[in-house]
Amino acid sequence: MTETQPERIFRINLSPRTSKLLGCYALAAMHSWFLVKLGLPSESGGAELVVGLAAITGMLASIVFFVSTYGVIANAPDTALDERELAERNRAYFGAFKYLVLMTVAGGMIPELLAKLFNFELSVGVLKNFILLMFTTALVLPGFLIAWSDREEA
Amino acid sequence: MLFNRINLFRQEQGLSRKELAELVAVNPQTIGYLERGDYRPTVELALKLAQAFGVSVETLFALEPFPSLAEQLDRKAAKDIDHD
Repeated sequence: MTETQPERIFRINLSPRTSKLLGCYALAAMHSWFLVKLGLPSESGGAELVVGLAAITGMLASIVFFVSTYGVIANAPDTALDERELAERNRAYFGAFKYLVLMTVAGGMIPELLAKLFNFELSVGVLKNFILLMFTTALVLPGFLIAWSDREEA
Repeated sequence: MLFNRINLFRQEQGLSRKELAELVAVNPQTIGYLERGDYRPTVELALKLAQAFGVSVETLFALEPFPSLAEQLDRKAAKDIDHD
């Protein structure tokens, strides 16, 4: 088949360039929110506000990306895509899968191991933040990788 | 490496990318990828493209680069001279 059917699937049309920028912002905001918050002492006013804003805008950007052109392509039924788009989507999902596995190992298992080794406890808040980061990454990453592999036609 | 003459045949038949895409049921962008050699089609798509142009798959696709028009004309001229 040809393009995703716009009359049946709601989507916000974005150019590859805008999609790349939006995806970059969503991923960077969420990752920096998690990492900064990890090392931030609790109740540190101004900094907390900045990372909080990054998290909110990052989440909003993730949702907008998910319902935009490449987010929809990443989740469209097979019949709505042609063979090249399906191949690209497979590649993007495989790339996203590898990243999420790496993220689980780096962000989930290593801190757990370090906590056991150095005798400290991971807080529930950190784990909740990590799950939220994984969720937004999984939401954005396949479409983001498709956007990067796409070319803007002359 | 796979070489093709999709762009040549498409222009010869006066088809736009969109029109050709509709004939073979793909996204018009995919035609661009094929013409640039950025995507290698499946056998099914190659057959559909050949059918759309009314030529054989070997005429449309090759594993070696296609000779340029100048080369082809040179060869033809050489053959004609041999026949004479």
